Amino acid sequence: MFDFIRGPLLWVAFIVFFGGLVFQLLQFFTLTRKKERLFLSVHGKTKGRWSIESMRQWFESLLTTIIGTHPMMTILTLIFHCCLFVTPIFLLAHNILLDESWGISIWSFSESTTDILTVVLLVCGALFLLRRIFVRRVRAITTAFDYLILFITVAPFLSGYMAYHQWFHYKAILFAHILAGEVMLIVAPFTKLGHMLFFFLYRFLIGSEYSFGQGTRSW
Amino acid sequence: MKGKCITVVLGGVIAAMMISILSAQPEKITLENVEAYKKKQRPPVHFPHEVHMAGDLACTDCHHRYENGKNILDESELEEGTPNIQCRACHTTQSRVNLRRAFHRQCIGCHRREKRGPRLCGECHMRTPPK
Repeated sequence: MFDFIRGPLLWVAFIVFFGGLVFQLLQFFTLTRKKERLFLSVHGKTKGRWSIESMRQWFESLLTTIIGTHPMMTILTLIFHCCLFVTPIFLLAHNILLDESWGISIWSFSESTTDILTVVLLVCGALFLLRRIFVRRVRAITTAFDYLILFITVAPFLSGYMAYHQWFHYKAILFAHILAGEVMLIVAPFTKLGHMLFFFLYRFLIGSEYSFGQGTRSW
Repeated sequence: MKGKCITVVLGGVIAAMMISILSAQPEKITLENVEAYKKKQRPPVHFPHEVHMAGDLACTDCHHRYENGKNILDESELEEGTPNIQCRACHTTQSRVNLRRAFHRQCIGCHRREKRGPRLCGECHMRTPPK
């Protein structure tokens, strides 16, 4: 069982994850071949691109977005996403596994640092859950699938935290941790979690999607 | 008669040597290596030495000193407290096969090949030491 979930199933998860991202990328470029003229830009155009005035206008324009309307949520989301990517990549135990398997590894945080990052992520996840339950306007557009997606995202970290601290049945928790990570990788490109890719594509390349960049592509 | 006596005496000497060597081996060894690791990332490993000795392993299956690809370690050197036989004597934190890799490859590698023994991090690095 352990050999299967650590071996073939892990390969399947990575192939589906990266293959899915490439598929979505190709589909995006195929569906957005049309170009459109950009009529409106939130950026100041009157002065030089990097002038103080231009930067000030850009900053003010940001305040009209969610950064200005919900600053706490913005900070919370930013912290959550940083932890989401940084923690598993720079985790010592993961890098040791890489080293043992392929002889390669990258720099890692100390185990106590990643422990703190995991707790921060879990707290953010819990606040997202409470927000979905108690904030009326968020609850109104929340389906059971949103709770499932939040659970799929948080599960690898919760089980990883429990495995690291060796709570309950260590072996069962660690198996659950590996499986949870694999499930997240497999579903990521095909569900709402795909925003890890689509956020950048839509917001920088599509002109009509409140582009941060000079996107001129159109559906 | 003389030959028989020599055989008995030699046998006794060899048996005494074996007993002295085996009795010098600790049952459990705590692999902590505080000199090598200033800041520990995981709890130390409580290595059940006697479990490995009771099996079909020869001492030199684990203990080694390689020269030209051949393990030249003399088993008589394997006595508790001999600094040269400690893994960290050769596998320092700076060596290519550093101390961490040496332990992981030696232990997990064998457990994987033999399909028995712990292979998960927390099965060796236990937060609650085994009784």
